[in-house]
Amino acid sequence: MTTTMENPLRAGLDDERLAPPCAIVIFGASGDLTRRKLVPALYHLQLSRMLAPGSAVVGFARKDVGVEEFRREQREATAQFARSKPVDTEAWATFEPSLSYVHGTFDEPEAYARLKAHLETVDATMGTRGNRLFYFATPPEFFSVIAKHLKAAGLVADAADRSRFTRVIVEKPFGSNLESSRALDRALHEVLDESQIYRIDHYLGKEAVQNLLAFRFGNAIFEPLWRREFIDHVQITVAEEIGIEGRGKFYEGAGATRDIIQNHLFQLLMLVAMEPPSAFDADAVRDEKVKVLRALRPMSRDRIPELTARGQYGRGTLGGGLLPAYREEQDVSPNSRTETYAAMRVEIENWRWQGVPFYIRTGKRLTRRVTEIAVRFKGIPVALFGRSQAETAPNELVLRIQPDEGITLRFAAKQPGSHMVLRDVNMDFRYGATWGRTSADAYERLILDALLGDATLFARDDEVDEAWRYVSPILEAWAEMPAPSFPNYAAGTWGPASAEALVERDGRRWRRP
Amino acid sequence: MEEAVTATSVPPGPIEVPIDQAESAINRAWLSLGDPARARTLNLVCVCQNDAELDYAVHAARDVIPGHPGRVIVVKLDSPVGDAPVLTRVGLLEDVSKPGAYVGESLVLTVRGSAREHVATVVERLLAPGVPVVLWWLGDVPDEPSAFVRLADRSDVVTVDSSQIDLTDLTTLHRYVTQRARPTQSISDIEWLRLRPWQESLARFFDDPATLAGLSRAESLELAFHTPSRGDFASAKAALFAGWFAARLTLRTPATIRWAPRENGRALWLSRPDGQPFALTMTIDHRPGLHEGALTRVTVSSAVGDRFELEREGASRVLAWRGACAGAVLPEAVLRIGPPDTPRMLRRLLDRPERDELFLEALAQAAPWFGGGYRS
Repeated sequence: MTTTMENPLRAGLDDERLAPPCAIVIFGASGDLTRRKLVPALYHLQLSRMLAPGSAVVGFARKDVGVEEFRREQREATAQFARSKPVDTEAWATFEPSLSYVHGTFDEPEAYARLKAHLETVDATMGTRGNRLFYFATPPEFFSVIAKHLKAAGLVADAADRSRFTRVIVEKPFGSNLESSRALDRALHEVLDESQIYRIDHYLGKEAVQNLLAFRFGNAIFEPLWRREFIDHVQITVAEEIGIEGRGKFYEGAGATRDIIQNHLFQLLMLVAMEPPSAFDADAVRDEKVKVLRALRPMSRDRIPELTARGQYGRGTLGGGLLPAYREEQDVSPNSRTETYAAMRVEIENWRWQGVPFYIRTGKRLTRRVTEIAVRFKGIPVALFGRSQAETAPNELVLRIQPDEGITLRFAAKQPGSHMVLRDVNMDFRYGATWGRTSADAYERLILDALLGDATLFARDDEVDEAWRYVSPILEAWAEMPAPSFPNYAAGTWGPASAEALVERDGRRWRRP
Repeated sequence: MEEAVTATSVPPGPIEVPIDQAESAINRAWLSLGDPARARTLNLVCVCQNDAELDYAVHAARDVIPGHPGRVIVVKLDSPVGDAPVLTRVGLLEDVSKPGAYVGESLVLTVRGSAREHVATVVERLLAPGVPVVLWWLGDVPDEPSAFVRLADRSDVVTVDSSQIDLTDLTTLHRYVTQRARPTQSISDIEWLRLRPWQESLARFFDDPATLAGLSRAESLELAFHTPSRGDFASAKAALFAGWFAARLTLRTPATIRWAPRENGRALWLSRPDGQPFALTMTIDHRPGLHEGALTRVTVSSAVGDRFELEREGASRVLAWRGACAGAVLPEAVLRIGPPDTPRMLRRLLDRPERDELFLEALAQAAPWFGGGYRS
């Protein structure tokens, strides 16, 4: 904020990342996200003294409860879901009075008038100075409705107004295809400037994801190798052990591609493949990220069967337990065509990556939960040490996002003994073992960033647009193709045979994470 | 946003060995664990003068090392008389939150007699190679030639704790900074880090344009603090706070320093950039239960009625944040400041070991105020 810049006592204190005073309004305050993530995250920010004194949290939802009841619910939820337990009673005692509640439906103008009056009182009594952070923790169909009503009620400050700010955090999904995503963007842009919109992808709030940037651009030794001349291919895996966890209704309309690839997985792809940004700021980083998506080689419809694989889990076993098929899950059609697994071979057409395939995959009910990026380097030109060297694998660098965050580099080493025998060894860096500390939850980091006006770790409209532009034709083609013979992989396995064929066609194999 | 866990020294070790066998004893300790992969990010060298400081340093170091794995060397500078071999206790440090996970090595040295003169070379041969050296100096900061200067010269990060030193030590430290420190060397103060919540809370008053105008009209800063040690009329903490404030507002120090007596304190007249006088007042506010010299109240005020005040409730960690300023809404708030524990501060220091220009600026501003002849 300009005012912060002019305050001489602020200079040099900024490294503490303290949020300015602000009223944080959560739409959908009676929902699960608020209870499980948002209020515990705000409590932790309070505990870490990163919220300004006088900050206010206003819940907005249809449920007609009083403020005391709302506070009680949030206190109980925080006790259950806060990452550090037990809840610090002193910190909660400071935090709780900042919680208030306004009830109303999202399409009720009177409710927004009540909200406006309430926020004016909050400004006068708490000193929040007209600063607003609206968090849309609602189903996506309400995003544009809420935005329009906020504007109509005079609750949106102009983006150019330097004396106060209005920012909006929007939860994914940002549309369900290119068309609906653009419609949502148009609706939001009628009310808000792009600089006021923070599209949250909680993956970007993860420490290990941010470490990708640190690893790539904080070390000089890897960058010269990070290109087509030295890298054979890259595999990105987002594997889930869990099924759909009662979210059948949502998942039937989404599927693995919309749920994971279009957002989380493409975020990882962008971070791995982007060029160095000119600065570590929101626009410089996002400019480089979006160039990756723009450089993706579109899949022609006739090559989609060859370059993609999709699957749906059937019955299976995991850890000795029997698991139901997807079609047997609650709220799922017995004839569902929704994919619970998707894999693609994507190519980035630029100077750095031309000819380097990126194999990406995600799925539910796979063997284990793991998110990782495996960079496979090219093999040696000559096997100087004979047969034993031929048995070693090319160097591989694995960036593990979750669980067991860390980095492993595989290289060949001489096995002790009188013969020159080479073996693969792993050099392993594990976050948890190196730094014995608990990281902030992704929501803490991202809410704080939004309060500070730092959009670096949020998706910009063009990123979302480009991701849909790539994925939508694939989804359309799949919808028009003959129905696949689902289920085609057993729960507890690594996915369908077609996914194996996808990489084997190129003479490669999926890494077993 | 992060929580640290503590480490504890566990078998294998600690064992007492001659100094020249310390390195091999550490290697044997690691081998006895199967020589696991280990990360080293720093050497933390803590130098203390007595057993109480030694315990304090050992505990603090164990607390921070899981977050900053590496080698901890704690040196107790024992009696200067009588020669004796350097006693060395070595052991490994285990992360208490993860039994079986060893995160560092601990060497505790007792140095007495003439060996004190050579402590820097003793420490140097025990440093883990290739990682930065952080010197944490507890207690008085002696002027050169001294072990402090020799060790500081070899360190990448030097930190003192001005809660344990008197005002002349600030001058000594400032002299080291201006005359010997390398441009890349980071010099800091644990006590300075404890000031941050107070600085933040005061700065927050002036984020609003209306209150910012009030700051430009300010004519006085009064700092109240619990009784400082050794008969000083100001604590090092208050001095650094005042130095920071004055530097930020570009207040000028008069050519001749003359502290005028005040009730329970003293005042120094500075001048604002526009030439108007500005009163800096140091007031003793006896609050049993607080550390020596801890701040109890900060008040910025002007002749036209602007008043911005932070006041500690009793001896607690709760601050009342209140003020009055024309054209601004300043609802009274209650702020809680973090516990002033050393490990927490040390962790923050190690998290961000870069040169703290704000501290150096505050030190440069405050040191001349206490250059000599100031004792009451």
